[in-house]
Amino acid sequence: MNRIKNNIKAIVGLLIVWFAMSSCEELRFGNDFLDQQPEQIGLTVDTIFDSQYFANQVLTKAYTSLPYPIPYGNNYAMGGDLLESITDHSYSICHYAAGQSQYYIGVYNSTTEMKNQKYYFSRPSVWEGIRKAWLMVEHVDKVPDMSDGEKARAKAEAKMIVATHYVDMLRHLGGVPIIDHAVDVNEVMHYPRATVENTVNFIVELIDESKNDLEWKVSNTADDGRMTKGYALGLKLRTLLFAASPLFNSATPYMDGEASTKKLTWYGNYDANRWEQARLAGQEFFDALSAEGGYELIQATEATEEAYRKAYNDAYFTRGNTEVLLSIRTGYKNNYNNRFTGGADNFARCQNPTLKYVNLFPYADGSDFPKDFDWSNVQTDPYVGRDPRFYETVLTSGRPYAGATSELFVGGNHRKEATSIGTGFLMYKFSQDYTSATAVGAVDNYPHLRLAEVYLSYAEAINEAKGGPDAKAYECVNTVRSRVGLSPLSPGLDQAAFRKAILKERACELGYEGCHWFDIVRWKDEAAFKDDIQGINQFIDASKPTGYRYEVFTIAPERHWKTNWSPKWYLSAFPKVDLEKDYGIIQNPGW
Amino acid sequence: MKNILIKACICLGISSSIVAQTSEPDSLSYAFGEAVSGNKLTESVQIIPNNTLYGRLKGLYVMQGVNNTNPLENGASLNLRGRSTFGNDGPMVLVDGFERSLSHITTEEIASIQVLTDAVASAIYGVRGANGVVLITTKEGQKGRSTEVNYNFIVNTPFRMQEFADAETYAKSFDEARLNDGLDPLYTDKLDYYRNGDEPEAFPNVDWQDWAYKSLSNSHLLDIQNQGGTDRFNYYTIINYSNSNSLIDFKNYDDRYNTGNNRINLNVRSNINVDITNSTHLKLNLMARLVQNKRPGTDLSSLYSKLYNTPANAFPIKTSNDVWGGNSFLDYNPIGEIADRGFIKDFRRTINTNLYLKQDLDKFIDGLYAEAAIAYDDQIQINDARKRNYAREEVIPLFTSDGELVGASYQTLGLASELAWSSNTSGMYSRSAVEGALGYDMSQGDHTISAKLQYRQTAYMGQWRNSTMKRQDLMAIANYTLKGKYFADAVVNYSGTAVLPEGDQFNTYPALGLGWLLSEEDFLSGNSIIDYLKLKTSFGLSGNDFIGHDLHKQYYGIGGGGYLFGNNNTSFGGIKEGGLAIADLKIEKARKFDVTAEATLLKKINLSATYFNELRSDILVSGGSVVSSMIGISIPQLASGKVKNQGVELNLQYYNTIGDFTFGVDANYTFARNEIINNNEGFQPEAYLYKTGNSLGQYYGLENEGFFNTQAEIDNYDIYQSFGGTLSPGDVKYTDQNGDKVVDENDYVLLGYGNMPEIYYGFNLHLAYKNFGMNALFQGVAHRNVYQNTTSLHKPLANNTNISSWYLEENTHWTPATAAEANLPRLTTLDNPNNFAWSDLWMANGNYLKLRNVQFYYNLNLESANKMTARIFLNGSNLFSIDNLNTQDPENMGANYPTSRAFSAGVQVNF
Repeated sequence: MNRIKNNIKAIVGLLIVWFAMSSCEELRFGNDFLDQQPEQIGLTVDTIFDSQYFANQVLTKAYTSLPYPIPYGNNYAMGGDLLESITDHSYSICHYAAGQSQYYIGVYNSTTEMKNQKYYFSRPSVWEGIRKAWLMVEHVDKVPDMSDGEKARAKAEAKMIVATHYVDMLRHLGGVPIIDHAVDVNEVMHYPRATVENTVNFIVELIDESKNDLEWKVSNTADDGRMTKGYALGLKLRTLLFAASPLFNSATPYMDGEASTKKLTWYGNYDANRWEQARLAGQEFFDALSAEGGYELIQATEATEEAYRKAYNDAYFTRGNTEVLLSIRTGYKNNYNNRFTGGADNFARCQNPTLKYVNLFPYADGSDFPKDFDWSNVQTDPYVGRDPRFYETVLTSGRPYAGATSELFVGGNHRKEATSIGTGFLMYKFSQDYTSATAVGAVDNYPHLRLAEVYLSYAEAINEAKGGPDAKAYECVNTVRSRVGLSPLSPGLDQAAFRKAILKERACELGYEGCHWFDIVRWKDEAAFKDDIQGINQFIDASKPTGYRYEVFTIAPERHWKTNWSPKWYLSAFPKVDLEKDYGIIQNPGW
Repeated sequence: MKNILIKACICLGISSSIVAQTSEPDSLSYAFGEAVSGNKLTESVQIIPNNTLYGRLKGLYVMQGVNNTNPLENGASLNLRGRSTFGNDGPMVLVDGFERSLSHITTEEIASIQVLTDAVASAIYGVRGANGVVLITTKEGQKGRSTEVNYNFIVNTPFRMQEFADAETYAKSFDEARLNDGLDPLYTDKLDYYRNGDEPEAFPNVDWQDWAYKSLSNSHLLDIQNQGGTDRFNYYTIINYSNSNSLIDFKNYDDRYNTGNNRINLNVRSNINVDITNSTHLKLNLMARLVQNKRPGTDLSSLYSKLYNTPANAFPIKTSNDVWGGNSFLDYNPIGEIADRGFIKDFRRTINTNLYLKQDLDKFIDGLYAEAAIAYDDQIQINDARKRNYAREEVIPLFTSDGELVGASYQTLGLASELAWSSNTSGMYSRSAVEGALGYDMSQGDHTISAKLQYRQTAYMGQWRNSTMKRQDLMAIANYTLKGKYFADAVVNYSGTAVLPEGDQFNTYPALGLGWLLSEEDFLSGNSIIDYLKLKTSFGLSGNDFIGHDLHKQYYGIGGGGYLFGNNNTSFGGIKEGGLAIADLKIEKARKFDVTAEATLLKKINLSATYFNELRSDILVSGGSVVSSMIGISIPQLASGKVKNQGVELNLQYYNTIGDFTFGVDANYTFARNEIINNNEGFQPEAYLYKTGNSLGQYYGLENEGFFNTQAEIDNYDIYQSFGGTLSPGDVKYTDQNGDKVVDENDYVLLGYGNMPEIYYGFNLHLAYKNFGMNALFQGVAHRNVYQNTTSLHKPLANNTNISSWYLEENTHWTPATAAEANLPRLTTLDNPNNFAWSDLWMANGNYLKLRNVQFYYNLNLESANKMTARIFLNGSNLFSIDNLNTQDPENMGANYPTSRAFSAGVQVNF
């Protein structure tokens, strides 16, 4: 028995030695035992804002939230459509994108309001960007290796990112909840909607707090794409112009409802001073421009259609130019995910300009395309000799496209039959001729705000604030027109005629850049919703002077809102799921 | 608790051996279906012990697993009473009182397996007990000495292998599909070549699975067990060796190595019990395990879908140039993947050790004792790969202008490379436990008391981050028996886990059990029918701490997606923010209640019936439905999920011997239905979209209304089916549930049961006559559905995939001629998201009844001096399944390694 005992002792002894060797940790009991070792990378707010290296990444992350309307990645806004596709200027043939599947047939409502409609209020990436921006504002002062100037600029950039998102929310939804800090886990998560007035004021305050800490224009091209004072002042004008327009600034709300009673969808009255505020914002921009310089419209090198087109194309499509005030980026144009100039699905081909839009483009000399143009008796090619911007915006037959020539006549490659879906026109902007030559290895650029818009907005603000155009207003519009060789506007227009001319100029200049929807909405242009959506069938017919016979057709079925009109369409619905969360959202009228 | 820090390099351990020793497994008197002896389990000849457990124990849902990377290690999954949580629902598995994987030991070393589902047992395991406990005890030596040798020779065959179209059938189907898509047929003038098979290079017809799998593979299983002992000392040792081969085998391609799939397992165990002194008892369990897995150098987990997806006419196995065939659509040759990618070997080394000491303290107080236990387990796996790439070439047939085949040209695809060597480690972990207890047993008159104060701490440290689990229990346990017929068990466990925030890591889990042995009462004593009758009930709390790590902390990371400043394609990094910390983090809490009646009748029949009811609360569920995404950060989960699970368990055991004839049956039946009480679902646009009130894991989808039969029908149809593609005749029509004229996700309705069955049952039949005997183990499930969406098998042709006999022959797909009786949609070569949207079209009844195992044996009585006995036996497993699928295994529906059907012959010798 003793032997066994000794053996056991030896075994136990060996075991203890072996445990000791196989484990490098102390044996702990009690509270110490449950102490955790780090299982994560362990970066906290404190460690991040302990160095410029990490702190800058917070701001960079906020930048990634900026809106990029061209279908990109998988969660694109509007399911592949552009905002223009639900206006009278464009028609989308993509049956699963927002236009066809939601708006044309009128099934859009607060329960279908999800990520693929024109503006999804709960889009997490937007709110994540806003949170990152506020984290930057709240914590950047702690960073030891940043100068005061760098800190001030970082805060200003962050606030401008917040302002950019809020301007979009204001234009799509009216007054929205104001998040002016990074949410803490312990706070009461109740966020009621602010009034339109408070939302506008919040945006303007953000801009005014930031503008003087930003460079007027980036001095170092490596900073291109960052927020500038030029953009800040331009965005202020965009905001105040929208706010002064009849949608919000009116004696009556666009539609009655609880949200209107609480002034979440309008100001509650008409006040002419709001136009004056917009005009002053424009003046502030142009005063600064005269003082600082730096920005100008890109001018053609010679007075040819080709040169004008190139100048206009550079203006909206190249990075680092003198015209884009905020350029938003994702990578190369031919990036697989960019659905306009590369990827597997060519969403660009879904965007079809309407005949109404085509007719809007004047002739190259600036004279209007005839309203009563007789398509049954066409003597010369109607698509020749037009505004150079026409060719950069709309694709018609016989032009370089996808490595060949576009064939938009009936029976051609791009329009097989007269009954094929579409208008007979394709969008040219952003996708261009859809070849590798224009896309491969070229960096992309989405012009969130261009100097041309600022010119036109200022002209509009003057026209409204002063009861008609003055010389400055004319000068602004003509600057934009002359860049593409158009003649100046005829002098002596009254306020209404000048307003009409500006809106038309905006549509031609800023086509597919997300401008026209807001123009018809802010002017409560019900007629634009009710217009026929028309296209052209171009048949080969040797007996005709141009070699083609042109047939106007109206796309059926009609858009739902043409026959079931309601002003509710001016603003989007808040998602029903958000209302159900009951944190303070009041639905817009009609939804 | 005070901090105690012992400066010694020892890891930690804890034993619940005290709780573990309750079962007396054998014959019919044990545990009413709650425990099974190892001897019963070895009737199923299985190398992985999980696979012996089908239908053995009430409440234990054993579901066939899928292990495509290591098919030879495929072990069944275990669940107790279905599911009670959205989170981790696996039970705690204890081997000799310590948490360990069942698959690390061999069936032959198991003395018994017991399931603990009642509230008292769950409370004893505190933060880990809610999912129930499977308690495995390994064998111990008996007095005297004996040796047992077992040898089994096992032959594996595939069970219900799927068939795919031959080249001609494929070509015809493909052309039918192209016509449906408005495309020109490709093979019209080629069908003769496929039919005649006289141009196998240009027009091949390859049955890929036939080449990839052998029809038989064999395995050997050998063990030698020695045991013995005296009054104060006993030992048990086992050496268990197995060598198994899978059906994937393509050796001898390269004469330097073979790429067959093989596994060698060696387990060695030594269990010792010794009384060191008159009052000191020691128990030591040591186990070491060596495993070597060898397999082809390809990624085995995707091989099976390659075998499914490659059409018979895709390319020849090899071209006439002795190069692997290929084409430009597929970047592989399935046989080349097996034969010519080199090989991978992994070596796994595991040790499990535990030591237990009990010291009687009768000299201080009569009945007082102290216990201590320590355990340490460790594992490492080294993966050695010697991989290469192989060249393929595409055969491009050449025709004369009048269509005569005159030869072929060859297009090289991919380059061969030499064997490249790489090595890494995986599956490393260490696990340790320390346990100590002070107990007191007292019996006086009618009263028997057993009480214990116990401390336990366990730690698991895995190879990767977020794997450490540390837990601590301090508990008081008391049992009281009055007059041998009234019982009460009480436990209060103060139990903590490191996943909870510091300062808030502990919860208290109390439980109470009551029992009444009616058969000891006067009114039943001496009853000739009722030999034993007991009622028992338990209720109490337990926890489940399998939640994420650091959920209460706010963390950031790098690599959150960058932004492009400047005018080049240069991305600047952005920061990543983890989810918002959870403010009030909790672990799952289970409130369990059960009541059981157990009876023995006529000394031959055991019956038991249990009703159980569990409410699991504080389950982490998405907070998205109550918190706005305006907070700008991943919405934190909320510990507000709630699931109720209730059901019944029945067990019947009957044994009888009449003369030389013995008959026995051991049957169990479990029904468990869970109900989602709260999963923070938030608003759903339609009432039928709510999952609350239904069960976990149920299938939802569209209801089909058959097929569109004509283009006119489609043109006149005013409901928009939003899943994409242009509708054609033969496409599926769905019910627009909410009448909004759009069929989309808002038209998903509850379609049926989920993959986890509600009803699980098994019955074991035993017949013996003199020296002959037979055991048969049947197991079945009911209230189960399966979803059929495997590419090529159920979703044919699209994206250059294959088509199965299931689609073409067993079912009728839509063509204009078969429109009336078709049950599957038309063929198409295009992606057809409409037809393959989630819908009841692809649902099937997943019930089955399987003969899991059958054994015939013969006992040899060898009249020799040293009591030598022997038994020879024949076994079969998975011999048949009665179900609704007929050609598919309802437990193995995907592109996986085929289910195994095994036959074995064995001999057992005892001396």
